[in-house]
Amino acid sequence: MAAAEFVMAEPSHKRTGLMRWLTTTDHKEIGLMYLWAGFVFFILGGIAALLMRLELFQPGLQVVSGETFNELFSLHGTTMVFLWIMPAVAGLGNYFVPIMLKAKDMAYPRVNALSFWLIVPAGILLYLPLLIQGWTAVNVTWVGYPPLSTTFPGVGLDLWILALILLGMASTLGSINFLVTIFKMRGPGVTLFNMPLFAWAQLATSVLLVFSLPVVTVAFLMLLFDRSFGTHFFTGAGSEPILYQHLFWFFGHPEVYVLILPLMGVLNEVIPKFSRRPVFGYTSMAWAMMGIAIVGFIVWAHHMFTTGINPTVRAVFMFNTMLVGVPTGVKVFNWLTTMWGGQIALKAPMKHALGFIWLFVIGGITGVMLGAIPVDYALHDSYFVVAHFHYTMVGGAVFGIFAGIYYWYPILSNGRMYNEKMANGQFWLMFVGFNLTFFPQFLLGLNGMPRRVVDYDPLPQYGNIQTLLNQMSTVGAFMIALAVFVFLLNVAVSHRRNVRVSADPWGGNRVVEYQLWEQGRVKLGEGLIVDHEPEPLAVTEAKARAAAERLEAA
Amino acid sequence: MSSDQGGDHPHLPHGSVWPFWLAVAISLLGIGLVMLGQSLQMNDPNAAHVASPLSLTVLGLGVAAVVGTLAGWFFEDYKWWPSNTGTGTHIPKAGALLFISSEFFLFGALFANYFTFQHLSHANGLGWPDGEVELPLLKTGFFSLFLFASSATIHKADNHLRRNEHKQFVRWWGLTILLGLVFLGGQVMEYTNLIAEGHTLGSSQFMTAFFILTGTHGLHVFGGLGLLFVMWLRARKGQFNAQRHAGPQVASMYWHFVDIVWVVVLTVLYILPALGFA
Repeated sequence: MAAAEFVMAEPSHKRTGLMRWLTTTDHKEIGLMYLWAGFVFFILGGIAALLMRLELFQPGLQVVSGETFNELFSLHGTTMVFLWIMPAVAGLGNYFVPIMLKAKDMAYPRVNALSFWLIVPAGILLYLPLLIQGWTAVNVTWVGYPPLSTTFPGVGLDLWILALILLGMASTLGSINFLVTIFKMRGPGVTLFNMPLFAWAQLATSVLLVFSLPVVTVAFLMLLFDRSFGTHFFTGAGSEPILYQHLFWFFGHPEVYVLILPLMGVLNEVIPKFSRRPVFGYTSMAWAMMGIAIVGFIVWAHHMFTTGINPTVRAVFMFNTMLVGVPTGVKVFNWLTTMWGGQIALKAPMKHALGFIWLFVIGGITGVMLGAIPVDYALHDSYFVVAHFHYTMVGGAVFGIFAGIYYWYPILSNGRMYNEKMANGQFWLMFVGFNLTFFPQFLLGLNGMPRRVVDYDPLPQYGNIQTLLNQMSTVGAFMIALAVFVFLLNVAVSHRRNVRVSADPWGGNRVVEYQLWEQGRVKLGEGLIVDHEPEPLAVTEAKARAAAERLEAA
Repeated sequence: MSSDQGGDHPHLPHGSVWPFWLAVAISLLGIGLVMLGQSLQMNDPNAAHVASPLSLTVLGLGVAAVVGTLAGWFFEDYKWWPSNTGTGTHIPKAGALLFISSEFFLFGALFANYFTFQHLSHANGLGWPDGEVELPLLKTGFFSLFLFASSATIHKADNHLRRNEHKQFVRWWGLTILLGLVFLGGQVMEYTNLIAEGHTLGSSQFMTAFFILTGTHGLHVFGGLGLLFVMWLRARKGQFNAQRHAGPQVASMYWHFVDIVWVVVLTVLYILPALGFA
């Protein structure tokens, strides 16, 4: 420690109401704001998805025009990636990483607040064109390839680029904050190799973001310059449209690991807890996540197999892509061996964790299939790809987010408890609905149905099979929507009913965040007090047992 | 979720209005840039390509707002100094190192673009640069010396700070700012001349790559100078000493980084083509 003792918890202003939230630098309050903002955008992106599914319920055009459909899938992709999953995981990370590290706060509390406040205008700018007559919202997919993205006129697309740049700045600053917190802010007794694996997941994620985001920011700026300032980066003589794809996917592929790794971190916490066993292979888990992060930087061109890039390069990227399966496999097997011989408590967090494993394995294996060049040639830009990444992003990431929120619900909501029956209903609706939505899309893709198209051939010669599969998918999508509604209802009911717990309701392994919370040291608006002796373990354990019994009885 | 929190607990983390306003200011700046782009109508060959007063106003307001909110942000640092509010010396340094490594990737992407253009130009038989342009190697080299010298003076200032020689620290720090300003002035002159010769952002692929690389670097120099200036003001007010020097240290790391990038830019854009390697 430096000569002077620095304080992070200097009471300077006490604000209430709106001003409190506008000016807060408390990592927990910022974490909650991230989660709320995430859910708002989750609903918006979900509405876009439902409209698309309604349109695809039957062949022909019924609900929306082709132009609107383009806007819908572009908004859906951009929103779900940048404004739902990323804020949601940033929220969980913000709330729990400093507590797990016994740190007073994030390393840079004000920069942390800045990261959050940047995503709000970004979201507004993205959706603004929908509200203004004659403007077109982003309609060039979430990847925005030139030449379409450089030549399509309209300010809506410029605002989309601006929003992405703002979101990129937010994540860059946020990741630096996480890394410095993890490396420099750990409290007494917390080391890199005994900190909770959730913190390791945030570490790996942040490494990915810090080095990939600047590259895509350059690509977006070039896009803006091509559109507005007369340059020819990606279209025109002497330009290279493929350069955009390289710059984009240098970020874009790490990005998909950014979306999944923190939720793998959640599983690393949830599965041992609900199996009543310590996690199997802590060190291999930590290195597996770092392995995914590092290999994640050298696989980007597998998104570009069909662009005619050099065949040798393609083969190298195919090999690297297959390589990702190894650390991912390590993680899946470690989860299974953690559960092996454990007493599994099938509460909502654990159900979502198990759902994650099932669905993510399907998403992962189909990813390895698509990583093979010949298969990719056949299935590129088909619904098979759509199904594959939804199995990882929804089946993995979104199930992981729900697992995390249920698991930490008492801490997040100041001691309130959710209703387990409703959570159970939500899980099954979501699990069945998800598979009903996306499994048919594998088959649609194998049938050759292209993605991002407003209409389709019903294939009457095969008994209208295409229509049937699309209808199953649409019904499933509405089941997912219902599940999300049940979740939000559960949150509302828990606040109304005000059922409180004062201790870890789950029993099993003692974990640091619940321990500190039981001791009253995790309070909104207050930095964690780290410099006094913790409560004796036996006392907290007795409390936890009592709480678990009470909950069991209820 | 938390209306029942509060009361008079100690250890309330200090709130700040500046993160919110800085986010608003950055968004405003971006909106100004988008409006400027719209008003130029570059995609319409018959348009006059003149910026609208409204877009320039919004852009100007955006710049002013960013500068203003950053000033508020740094003034908080200044106010908090006596009460030891902050994270300690080693923590800003770690963040600065990470930020700098992130910036290396940013410049890496710009260089990737430069070499792609160069390769394509050769492949199309146009040579490189692909237009008639004579970069003033000697003049730019001369102004570069000021930037290189400023890396030395800031190091000297840093050494004085470590030995608690406050007066010399402030003096050498101020000299660094002057040297940086001279370099930036040279850049402005070079841009003015190039534009007077008819070169614009889109006049050839070489000029595009040139302006985007040197422009990005110039903005970094500008930002670095702002940081140096803030530290200089705080130092003049008697802040910083051998024990507490996180701010100046971060600023000086960043300044060295800006210098290193310029070595590469100068080599690739000016020296190598002049030597016939292009």
